[in-house]
Amino acid sequence: MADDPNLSSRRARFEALALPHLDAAFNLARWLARDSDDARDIVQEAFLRAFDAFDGLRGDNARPWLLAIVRNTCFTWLAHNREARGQVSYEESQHAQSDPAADPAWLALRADERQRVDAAIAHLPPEFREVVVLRELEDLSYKEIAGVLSIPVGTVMSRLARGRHLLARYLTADGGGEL
Amino acid sequence: MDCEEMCRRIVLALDGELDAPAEAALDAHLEACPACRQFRQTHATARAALRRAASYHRAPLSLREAIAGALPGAAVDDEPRPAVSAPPPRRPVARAGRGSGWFFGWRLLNGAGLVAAACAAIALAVLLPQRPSADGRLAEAVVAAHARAQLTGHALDVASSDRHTVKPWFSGRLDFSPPVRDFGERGFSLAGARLDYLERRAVAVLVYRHRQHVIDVFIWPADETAQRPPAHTLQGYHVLGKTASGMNFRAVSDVEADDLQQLVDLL
Repeated sequence: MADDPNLSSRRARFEALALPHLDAAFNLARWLARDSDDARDIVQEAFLRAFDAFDGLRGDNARPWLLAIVRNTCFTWLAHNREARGQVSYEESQHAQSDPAADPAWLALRADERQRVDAAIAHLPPEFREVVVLRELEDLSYKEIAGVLSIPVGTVMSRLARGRHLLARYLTADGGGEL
Repeated sequence: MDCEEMCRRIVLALDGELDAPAEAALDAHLEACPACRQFRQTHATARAALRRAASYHRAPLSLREAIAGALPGAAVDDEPRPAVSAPPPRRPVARAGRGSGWFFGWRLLNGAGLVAAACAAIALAVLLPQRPSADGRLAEAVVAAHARAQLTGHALDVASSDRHTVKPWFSGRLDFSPPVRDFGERGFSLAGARLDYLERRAVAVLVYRHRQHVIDVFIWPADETAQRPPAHTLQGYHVLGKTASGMNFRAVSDVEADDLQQLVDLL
């Protein structure tokens, strides 16, 4: 029934708590799917799922909760709609990489910096990309990221370390790692 | 201590997740270890490049609307809808006319009156939360102006974080002088300003940035004394405001309500 007061107040509460994080949801989906149209579909589905699961939200901080739903929806969606991607091993010693940042060339601000940085993020394997986006663009704490991804805080740290290292490498590589 | 552990600490330190004693030990190690200094440099630069240059993909307005349309439940913010569940109050006089005597007529009138009163009460209860007050209509106008500015990309007429640039820009364009301040050190940096039209007059809009979000603050002269209008949430946007120092303030954004309140308190 359209005028069910419970549904109406539930919706009002959902709008107040979840809709403010629509940009964060879209940004995450867009970076994971690397396509705006796909991100739209994913986010819309995620919000409907979130509404159904709304009673599971504890407290008022809906952002990590919502982003976890977006992320899960995203991977389900991508698995159904796209070929599975290859996995990348992230067991490499920290010092094994070269030192890309030693080259001051990429320190210089350039007009195409945004394009190069975007390309580098898009090039990251998904498990690093999601950690990097949640940390650097959404400013989530390690603990919040651990909650979103259902992984230990220590793993958040190591993936973030590895992700940044890869980014640095893409950015120093000639052309900035296009893809 | 070994470099493996130090690299772990470097990552934590960059993200502000390392405690002070551990950081002191790290600093001591960095003094002595060029490899770890290099590691820190790599990470700090990658982190800075991302935060400075990476694209933040904001949700298109059409998606916001699509979600609002797809969610089950009554649209709380839409224009008042007729109270479907409550029948229109009947006219008691017409009913009374069918009575045989004045006493019976009076009784019927009274009964019908009660029914009418009950209907009116139900209609009122259903309609009241949905009919926007004057302040609610103002909040709607503020949200519409904010969304329009985001949609058309016309968010700023003057882009500057310097109040000494922004404030003079208003003079000559408005018949009042809005207070202009930057709260960058509190996380709300002034991005610039524009003019808008609200309450049948030209108003000042200060544009602040908080994390990746844009906050519009509408300012115009007030007749009333200091007061706090109720908070509104419309389509995921929060609208908070106050009247102080002879000015009306309305802040609108999709940031969290607490953050928006913090800015309103600073204004």
